[in-house]
Amino acid sequence: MMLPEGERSFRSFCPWKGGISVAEPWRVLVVEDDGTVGDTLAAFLEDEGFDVRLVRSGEEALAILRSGWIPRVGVVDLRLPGMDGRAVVECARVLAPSMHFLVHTGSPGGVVEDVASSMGVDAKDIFIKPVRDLGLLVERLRRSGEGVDEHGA
Amino acid sequence: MARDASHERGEEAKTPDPSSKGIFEETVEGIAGGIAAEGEGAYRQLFDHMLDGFALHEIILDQDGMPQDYRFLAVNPAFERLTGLRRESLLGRTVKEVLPGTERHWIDTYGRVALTGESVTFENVSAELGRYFEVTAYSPRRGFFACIFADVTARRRAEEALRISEERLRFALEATSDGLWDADFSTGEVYWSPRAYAILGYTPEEGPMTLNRWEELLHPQDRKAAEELVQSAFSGESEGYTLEYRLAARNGDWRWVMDRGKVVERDPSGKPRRIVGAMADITERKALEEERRVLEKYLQNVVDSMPSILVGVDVQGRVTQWNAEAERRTGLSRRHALGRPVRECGNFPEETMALLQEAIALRSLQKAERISLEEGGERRWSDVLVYPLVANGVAGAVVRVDDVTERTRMEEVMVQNEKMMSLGGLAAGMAHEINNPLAGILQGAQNIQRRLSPEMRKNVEVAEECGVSLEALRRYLEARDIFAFLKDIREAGERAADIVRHMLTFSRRGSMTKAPCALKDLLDHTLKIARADFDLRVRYDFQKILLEREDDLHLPSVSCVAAEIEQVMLNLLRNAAQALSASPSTAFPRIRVVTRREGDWAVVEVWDNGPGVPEEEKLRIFEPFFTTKKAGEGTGLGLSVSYFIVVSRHNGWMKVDDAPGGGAVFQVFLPLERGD
Repeated sequence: MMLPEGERSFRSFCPWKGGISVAEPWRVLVVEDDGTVGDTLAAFLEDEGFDVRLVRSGEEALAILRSGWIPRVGVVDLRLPGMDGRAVVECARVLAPSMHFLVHTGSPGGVVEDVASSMGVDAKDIFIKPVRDLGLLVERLRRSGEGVDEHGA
Repeated sequence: MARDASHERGEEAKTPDPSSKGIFEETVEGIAGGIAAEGEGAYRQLFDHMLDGFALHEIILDQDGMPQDYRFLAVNPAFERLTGLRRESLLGRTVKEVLPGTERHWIDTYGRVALTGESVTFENVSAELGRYFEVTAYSPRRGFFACIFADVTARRRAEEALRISEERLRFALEATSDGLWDADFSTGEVYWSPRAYAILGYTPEEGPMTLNRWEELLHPQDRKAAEELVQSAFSGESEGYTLEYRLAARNGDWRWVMDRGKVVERDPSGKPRRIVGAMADITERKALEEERRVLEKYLQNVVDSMPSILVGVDVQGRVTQWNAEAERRTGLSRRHALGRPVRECGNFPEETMALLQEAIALRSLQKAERISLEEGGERRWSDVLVYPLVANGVAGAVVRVDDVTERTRMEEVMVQNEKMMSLGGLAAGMAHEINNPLAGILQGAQNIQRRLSPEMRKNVEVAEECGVSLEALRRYLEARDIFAFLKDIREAGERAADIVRHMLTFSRRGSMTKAPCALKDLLDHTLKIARADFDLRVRYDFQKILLEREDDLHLPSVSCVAAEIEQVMLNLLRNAAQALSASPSTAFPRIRVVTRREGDWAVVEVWDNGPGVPEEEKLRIFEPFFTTKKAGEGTGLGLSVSYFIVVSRHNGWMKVDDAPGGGAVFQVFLPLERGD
């Protein structure tokens, strides 16, 4: 469902005033195994007015997708216990083709551009921890998530 | 010889009276060759004293007129001596009576002489007497014969001995490969043994050797020496000579011979008449000697061309070998070094002497590396290797000294590089481990700040629900400096994150793609960032600094990773700004950025007129974590990261110098594409 033009622009200009639910808030799935990082990121995103779910592993993330809860955007760490971030993105794309992805990682394990292209994401969608200003991450999240398709929430 | 008429008469001879003077005198007369001697005594004297044996015989014929015996009529003392037979036992008797074993041939021969008047001379052997005789038999009168004979047994034996000796000599000559020669100076004739001819490929049949011919065969370069030696033999100075010279062989080659000659005969005036010598073909030996000489020279060349000092010593430590490099480094020539104790020959460190003793004593290789020496006012390093000579029964050792100063310096640079590179491994491992906790810190701090903000409606709502006024809470927090602490936490976290980020630069794998950049544009961009940069603006009062630019507009593009070079430039600008703000005495702080070309390099220079960089810091300034900044200012990584980016990732170079007039200039060299 497309968001009305007005809503979208309202939200992007006033990040502090999130929470107005003229339309459904975006679903964001955070996949992060580090406790503090996951908690603080989820809290920030909630303050931004997103409907956030936090999981600690790729397996849990896919389980959520299979349960039918399809997020607009996933924020995925690359190093996870079990399956890694790349695999999560690959599988998630199959389960939820409409999903967009941001990568939030401690070290990309290579040149950022190369990692981005190999994962099929924009280089700007890759964020290296620690992100000093999470507002920038949120801004990018919104831009990224505005790619529209019929399965989006 | 007087022939008696009695031969013609053919009278049968009767046994004459031994004292018959007629025949006797006639005979002796005949011997004396017709010389009249006075009186019988003279004949008698001659008869008794002549050295040859004399015997007069009468032939006895059988009924057929064939000689079958002969009778002794007269014999002289010499005859007695030669035959060992006594006169008394012979006279009047026949030979068959006296010497029954007398061979037939004697009788036949004498018979012929007596009957025909023919005289004979022959050599013959008497087995019974065991002697050789040379006999002359003639007939003074028919039916009679006289013999004059000499005992040549001694001569024959001598001849035999000579023959044997000559045979021996010939065998010896054939067995040895020396050619023998015998030169007669009076005639100019020269005897050469067959082997002598063979040495040159001639045969005796082709022509005899002469002194002239020999001279012609002599090699022109050797003539002089040969002449001199012959001269000295002639002058009596020497009895012989030994000379090596070349002769022309038949096939045109030169053969080397070693000739030993000896004067064996001189004429009455003392001039040598005969010189005898032996000549050995030493062509092969000469060739081998030449080969050896060439090899020696080659080896000497190898030893001399070595860039190492090579010194051979004997067990007493005296110099036996001294190569060209040793001469050069010590200033002592080989001539002066040989034979001297090695410690006197140069400024060898004590360790070398000790190594030498050990090497010889233990018969094993000894080495010492990086021995430091003062040489010509600078510090140089050498590797010393001492190895004992254990083969071929030659004792002693060889000392090899290699100057490794350049290598040592390079290694120090490399170690330095390694230090910086190894950071990469460390960094990669640590980076992502640290980043998570840092994220936790920074994100947590951000959340705290946000959730205290009055602009967030949710904050206000929840505060009310808790019975707290958000405003009052905020006032409390402010009063208790909580907000300040939060700010500090954020800044500290960010600084930690910077360090990690810098360290990750070292470990970045793979190539960031390089692209041609115009340095001027790159600097423009950097300065834009610099002006907006928090550190520069606030900490270093960037605005106060006068910034000058000087660009070579014809500078070609440089292939580089723009972002990384910008990082380097930013770092240099920060450093310059920091230096200027740290010395407020500089009245008009200036930073000057220059781009120019130097050969195959593009150069960017950042000048400041601050206090400059002290000499001892210049060496270490690119070292990771080396910083003279106060704690909390900068990470100490900036310059080392820049160095890494320029040198390792862009194959460039970086250095710092004093600026004339005070201050420092940092120079970055980046390689230009060939063909620009």
